[in-house]
Amino acid sequence: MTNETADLDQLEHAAIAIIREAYATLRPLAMLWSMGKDSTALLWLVRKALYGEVPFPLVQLDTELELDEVYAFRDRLAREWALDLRVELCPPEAEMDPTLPPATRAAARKTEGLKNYLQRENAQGIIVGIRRDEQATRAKERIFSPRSVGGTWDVRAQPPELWGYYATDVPHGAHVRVHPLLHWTELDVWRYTQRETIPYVDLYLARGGMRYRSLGERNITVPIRSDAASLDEIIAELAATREPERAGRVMDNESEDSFERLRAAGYM
Amino acid sequence: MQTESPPLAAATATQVARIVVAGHVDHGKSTLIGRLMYDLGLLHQSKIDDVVAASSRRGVAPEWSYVLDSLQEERDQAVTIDTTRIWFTHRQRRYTIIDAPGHRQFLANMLSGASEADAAILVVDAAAGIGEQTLRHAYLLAFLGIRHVIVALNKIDLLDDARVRYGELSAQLRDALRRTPPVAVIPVSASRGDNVAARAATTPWYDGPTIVDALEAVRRVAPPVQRPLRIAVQDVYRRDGARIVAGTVAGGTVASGDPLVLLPADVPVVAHRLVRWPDGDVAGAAAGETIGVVLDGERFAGRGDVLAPPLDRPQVAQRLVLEMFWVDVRGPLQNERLRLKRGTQDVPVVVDGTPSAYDIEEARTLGAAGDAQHNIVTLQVRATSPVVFDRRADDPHGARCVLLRGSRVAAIGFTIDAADASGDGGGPVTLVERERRSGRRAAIVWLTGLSGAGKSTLARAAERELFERGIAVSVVDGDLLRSTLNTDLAFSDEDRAESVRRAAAVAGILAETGHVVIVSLISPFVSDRARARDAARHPFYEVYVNAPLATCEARDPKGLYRRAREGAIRSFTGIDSPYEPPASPDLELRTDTLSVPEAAAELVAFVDGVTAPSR
Repeated sequence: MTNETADLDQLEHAAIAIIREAYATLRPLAMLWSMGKDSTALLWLVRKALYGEVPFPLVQLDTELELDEVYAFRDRLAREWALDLRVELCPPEAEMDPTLPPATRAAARKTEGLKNYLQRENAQGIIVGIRRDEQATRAKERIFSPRSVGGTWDVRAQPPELWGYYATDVPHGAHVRVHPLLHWTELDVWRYTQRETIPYVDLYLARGGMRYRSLGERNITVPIRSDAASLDEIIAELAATREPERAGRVMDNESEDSFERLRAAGYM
Repeated sequence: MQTESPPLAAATATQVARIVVAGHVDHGKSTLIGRLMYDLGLLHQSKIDDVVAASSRRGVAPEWSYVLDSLQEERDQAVTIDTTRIWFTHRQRRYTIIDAPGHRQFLANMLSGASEADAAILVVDAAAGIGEQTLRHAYLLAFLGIRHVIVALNKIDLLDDARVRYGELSAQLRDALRRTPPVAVIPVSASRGDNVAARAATTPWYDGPTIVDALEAVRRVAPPVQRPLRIAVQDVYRRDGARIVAGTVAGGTVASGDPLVLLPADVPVVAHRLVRWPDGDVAGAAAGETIGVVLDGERFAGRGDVLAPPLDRPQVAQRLVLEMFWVDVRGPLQNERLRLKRGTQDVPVVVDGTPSAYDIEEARTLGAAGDAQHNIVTLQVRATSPVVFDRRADDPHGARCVLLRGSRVAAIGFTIDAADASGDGGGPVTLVERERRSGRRAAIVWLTGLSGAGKSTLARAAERELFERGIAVSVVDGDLLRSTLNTDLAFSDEDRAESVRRAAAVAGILAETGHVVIVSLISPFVSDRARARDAARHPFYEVYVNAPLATCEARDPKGLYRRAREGAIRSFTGIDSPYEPPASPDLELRTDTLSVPEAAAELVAFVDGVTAPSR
């Protein structure tokens, strides 16, 4: 028996096992949902792992600057999948570190929104749909990534992680980020979305020679040139491209270490 | 009863290969990977520009390691701090390349990266020779079970007579790596690209594979489908009235209808159904796959338990011999308390006797584990409850374990054998021993219902009857907790949740001593009771003591309803705070129609049935 998506099966089983570990060991647990392709595929995996239920809150870090289609998608899925959606309004940009470059400062709002949520709800675990291939500093992440009380990330002091044994003990006030999609690639997410017929925002599909490859806020994300108007075409496009996924994300490209500074401070 | 062959998809897939690149610091690991990416045409022009620009800012020639070393600090110090990964597809195959740091202080990170690899490239600086971490990394690769090792003899561009040096070093390396002989020793210049993707004109005397050739020969290490079945229970979910025992098949295969044994309790069970969402029932599952198992009858599996075939079962013991790579700064001490994680078990252990350390670099045993860090330590531990494990000699996968000191990983390694075959005798008294002596299974029987429904009355009546029958029984009463343990709690939703949590914790402690525990608590909310059930490490039964509000209010044994109606008590369940009845209790007692002796007799019969030793 040949199976053209056997590699997706491996990724799926690994992600399900991670989600079940998180649910069994970290309470209260929550998940970040940006309505993008990654966290929506992850949401589907949560339902697979936990037999159709999403028994914890889904947190949207809202800057009120998402595209209209994204909000509409959020509301539709929240209704259809009976989600416990929590919209966390992020503090204004004026309150961010003024030494950060402008678009990085805009992105830092989400870090602060997340901190506010974690502090208020005392969440021990938060599931996040980041992938190692998105951005070089994310490649250094652990699947279970303990964060200190301030939510900061110390890349030098990460615990060893092997054989499915994860860091699940959390000091009071600190939390663990859980990354079930860490080993997935952008192409995997689209192939999986297609195979499982997972819903997605249609801004990813090309209209008039342009499409969004990555969905961020209106003020810091731009569409790319593309004629890929279906999932098949997106998959074909990604299999051929060498253009980085986050090329349309302004903040990643402002200075050599802008993303690293964001992440050290607790960004996703 | 193996009915159909289970799907083998996860086991037969060979399109993915994971390669760890290890070796001493500065021997050129990151540079080799960066060069490989460049030569295979995998780098976008913007990345090439980025490397060139970042290199010139630091005043160096194009430094391919910058492709991987992404952190500011790493670029400035030219060192890899943590593992990083690169993905690419080459000739219809997916590769994950894991760059492991070479500094001794980052060995734990190297292990994290190497633990999941199918093969390794060990990079050795041809000019500098075998470094301290070269041997340590080679030893650890063998320890982790990585058998496919490719040696890249790097920086041959710096040598005067590369051919002679290659001959000397490959002989030294083959001698040093006797535990896992390398499949190839390749002369390489990562900065110049010699023998990376293309055969180099500078090494006409070498006719072996290039790095890319060697990578293409790597075979994916498949999950151990041929091994006996092992499923470590991660969690139990209740869906549509069924209890789904969830876990990953760590070895072997399972099909619906298979007879199994639940360990460590040693209970025979049958995998009645195998389920996935949204598919529903599936015929089977194989190593590497996640699965949910619905067991026949009222079987109480919980996190930490293991499902295995009745005849090909793992070891169960409380005293174990472990062989561990010691990560922490301080070695193990006699009588020290640590935590052993094996599968989904997480068990307190005490170090028995004197541990002994083996120095990897010097290749000799040190005796008492003074300098344990980054060496191999053999030690014996005594666990507070039985541990389910495989001997490394039987199945290295089922022998993998971790030791924690507090919440930090102190060591990683393998279970070697049981130290004492009997398991019992000496050490802390276990639940299994208590249950064996009492002849009863410990359980938590949770009575929920309105104030005045008769919970405490029934609990005390049942306690008396069970006691007379010689059964170890205790009552955890809500009123008593209110006046003792819970004096800091009021009646807000949060405080009620906390009071349920505490009652469940107290019940759990008593059940651990082998008691049948009857809890009598209003516990008005479904979610709080569900949490109590989830937290219980013992069989848990919900009993709905049901009488209509009017009946309870008419009884009003403590005058509380009257005071609530007068407004003297706020948030009173049934009056101005809701009661959520159980949707499907394990037992319902209608105390408005049954007499106290009748209801108590029903409760006693129920408890007697569910704690009977044959279950």
